Amino acid sequence: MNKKIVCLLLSLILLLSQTGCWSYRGLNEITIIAGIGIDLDPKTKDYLVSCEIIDLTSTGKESGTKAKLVESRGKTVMDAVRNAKKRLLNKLYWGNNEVLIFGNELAKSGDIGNVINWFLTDAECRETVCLVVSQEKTAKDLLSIYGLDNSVVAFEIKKIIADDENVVGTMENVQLFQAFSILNSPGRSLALPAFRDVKNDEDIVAESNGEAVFKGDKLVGYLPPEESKYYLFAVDEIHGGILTTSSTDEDQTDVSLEISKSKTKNSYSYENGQLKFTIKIETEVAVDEMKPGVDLLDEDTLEKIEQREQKMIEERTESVIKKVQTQYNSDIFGFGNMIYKSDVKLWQQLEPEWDKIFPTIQVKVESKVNIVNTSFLKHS
Amino acid sequence: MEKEYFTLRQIVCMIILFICGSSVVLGGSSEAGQDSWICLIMSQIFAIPMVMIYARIVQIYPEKNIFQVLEILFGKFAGKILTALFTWYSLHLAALVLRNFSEFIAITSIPETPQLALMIVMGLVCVHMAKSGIEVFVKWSLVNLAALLLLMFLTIFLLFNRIDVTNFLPIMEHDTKTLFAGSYSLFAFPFAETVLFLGITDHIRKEDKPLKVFLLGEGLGALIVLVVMLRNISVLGAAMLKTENFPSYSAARIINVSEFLARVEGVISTNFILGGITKISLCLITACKGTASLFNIKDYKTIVMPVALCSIALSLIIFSNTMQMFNFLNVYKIYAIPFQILIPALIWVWSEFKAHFKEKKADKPA
Repeated sequence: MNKKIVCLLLSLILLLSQTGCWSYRGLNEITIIAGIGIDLDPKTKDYLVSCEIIDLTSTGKESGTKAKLVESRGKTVMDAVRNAKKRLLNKLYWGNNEVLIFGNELAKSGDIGNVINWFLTDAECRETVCLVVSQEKTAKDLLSIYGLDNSVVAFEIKKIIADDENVVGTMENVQLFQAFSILNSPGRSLALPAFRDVKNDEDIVAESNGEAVFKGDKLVGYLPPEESKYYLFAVDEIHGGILTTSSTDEDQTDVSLEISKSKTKNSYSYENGQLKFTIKIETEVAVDEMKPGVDLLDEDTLEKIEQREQKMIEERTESVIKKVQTQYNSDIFGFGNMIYKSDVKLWQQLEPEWDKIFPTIQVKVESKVNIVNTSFLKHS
Repeated sequence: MEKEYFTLRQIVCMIILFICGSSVVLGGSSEAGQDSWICLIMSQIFAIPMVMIYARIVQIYPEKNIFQVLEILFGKFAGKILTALFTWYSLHLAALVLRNFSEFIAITSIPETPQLALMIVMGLVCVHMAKSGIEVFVKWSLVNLAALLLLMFLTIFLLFNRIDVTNFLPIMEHDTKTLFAGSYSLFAFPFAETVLFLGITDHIRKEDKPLKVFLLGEGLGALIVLVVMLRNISVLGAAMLKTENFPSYSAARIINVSEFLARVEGVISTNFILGGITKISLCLITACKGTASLFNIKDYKTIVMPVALCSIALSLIIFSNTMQMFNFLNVYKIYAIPFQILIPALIWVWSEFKAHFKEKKADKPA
C-alpha cells in the first residue's frame, strides 16, 4: 500500500515536468518571414538581406495581413540573417517563406549558388521556395512596395509566379530544389522569373517581366515577356496564355487565341560534327477574340489563322533561340542535358567544347496549331 | 516458462521492417546518383546467397540461436570468443541506429534538445520492447509494417505530380566499379544486417522453412527500399540525391497539394521512429542473448537494461559529429565483413562439414 502511494506521488512529480514542450515557440516568439531579398554591397561585398515580415501587431480581422521590412547585413548570408536579430524582438522564422529574390548586382556577380546552398542547408527553409530576380536596382526595391491585392508583396509575387504558366505563359516556376538540380546537372543553364516595379494607378506595384537568363551562376541577361513565352514553348512549360495574330494578310493584329494545351517534343541529330535540333510544338487553342464579321465555322478562315499562327510560333521561337545562342551563349533550353541523358558518350565528347558548340547548333521549329473551339460565337 | 514462437508471417514482417528501418530515411547509398536503383538490384546478387547461408544455418540447427550454435560447434572457449564478437556487433549496431535516429531528429526537428535526452527516451522504449518478450515484439512489427507501408504509399501518391521520369536518364552512366561499390554498400547496409536475426532463431519453429522465411523477408524488404529509392530519384533528381543527407525527408518536404496538403514530412519521421525502434530492439535482444550466453545467465530479459545503457553510452561516444556518422558508412561496409560474412560462413562451412562427417560415421558401424 505504501509503495503504491509513493509511486503515485512520484508520478505526480514527474507529471509536473511534462507540462511543456522542449524548444516550444509560440506565435509571440517568432517573426514570420514572407519573403526575402538578397543583395550584394558592391563596395564591401557584404550581403544585404531584406526580409518582409508579417506584422502581427497590426494584423487584424478587418485590416488583413500587414507586412514590414527588416534589413540587415553580414559577411555571409547566414551572418546577415542572424544580424537581423540585433534589431528584432524575436528570431526570424523561415518555415513560411515563399519567395527568394536575388538582387541584380548579386545575380551578376555570380553568388546565387552560395545563396541557394544556404537555403538548402538550413533546416527551416523549405525546398519549394520560388526564386525571383529583381530587375530593379536591388531586391529590396521589390519588397519595399505593397502588393496590389495582398498587402504582403511576397505572397503576391509567389501567386503571380504560380499562376503564370496557366494564365499568361511568360515565366517558368523554378523552385529552390529544381534550381539546385539545374545548376548541378550537365548541359543545362538556369532561367528564373524576373520582376520589376511599375506604376499602377497611384501606387507602385510589382510586375512580372519575363525571364532572367543565367550562365553558370551568373546573370547574363533578360528575356522580355514577348520572348520568354517562346522560351516556354521550347522547353515545354507552357500551359496557357494568349497568342495574337491577324485574320487577314494585313499586318493588323485582330485575333486572340487562348492556349489550352501545348506539347513540345525535342529531338536531335549529330552528323559530321553538326548538331541539329528539331523542336516539334503541338498547340491546342481556342478563338477568344476576333474582328467582327468573320464566319468562325468556315474552315478556310480557321485554317489560315492556324497557319499564320504556326508560322509565327516557328519564327519567334527560332529567333529567341538564336538570341540566346548568340547574345548569352547559355544553354537554358537544356540541349546539352538532352544529349547527356540520351547519349552519354557523345556528351562526354562534346562537353569540353560545349560553349563553342552551343551557338552553332541548328534549330528547326515545327509548329502545329489546332483550333479546338470558338467559345460562344459562331460568327463574330 | 514456455518458449515463445513466431509464426511465419510475423518473422517475415519483422525482417522487412528491420531492412526498411533506417534505410528508408537515410536513403541508402547514393554515390551512383540516378543509377542507385541499379545498385540496389545488383546488391541482391550478394545479399541472396548470404541470406541463404543464414537460413541454412538455421536449418541445420533448428530452434537454436547463433550463440548456442557457436558453442556446439567450436566448444566453450572459441565459441565464447566468437559470441563476444557477435555480441559486440549487435551492441554497436544498436548504438549506431540510435545515433542515426537522434542526429536525424536533432537536425530536422528539435535542434536545441540535447541528443542524450532523445536517446534515453528512444532507448527506454526499446528496453520495454525487449523486456516484454518476443511475442509483443512481433505483434508490434505486424502493426507497424502496415503503418510504414501506408505512409510510404501516401507520400508516393502525393508526390505523383512531381515525378519526372527523365531523372532516371542516362541509365548506366557510371562504370561497373562505381555500381559494384554502391551495391556493396547497400549489401552491408541494410541487407546483410539481417544476420542479427540469427540471434533470435531459437524462436522459429522447426516446421517453418527458414529458407522461405529469410528469402521472402529479404526480397520484400528490398522491394520496399527500391520503391523508396525510385521515388527519391524521380522526384529529387541525381544532383539533389547526391547532396542530401536525408533524401526521403526532403522529398516529403516538396509535397504540396494545392497549398492544402503540405508539410507532411512528419510522416517520414514517423516512419523512421517506427522502423528505428524495431531495429534497435532487435539489436538489443540479440546483444542481450549474446551477453546472457557469455555469462551463463538463464534469462536474457534480466540484463536488458544494463545492455541498453551500454549502447546508449556507446552511441554518445562513437561519433563526435554528424559528418563522421555519414562517413562511417564507408568504413562500415568493411568493418561489418567479419560479422556479416566471415562468422556466418565459418559456422556454415564447419557445420556442413560436421554433418557430413557424422553421416559417414553413422554409416560405418553398419
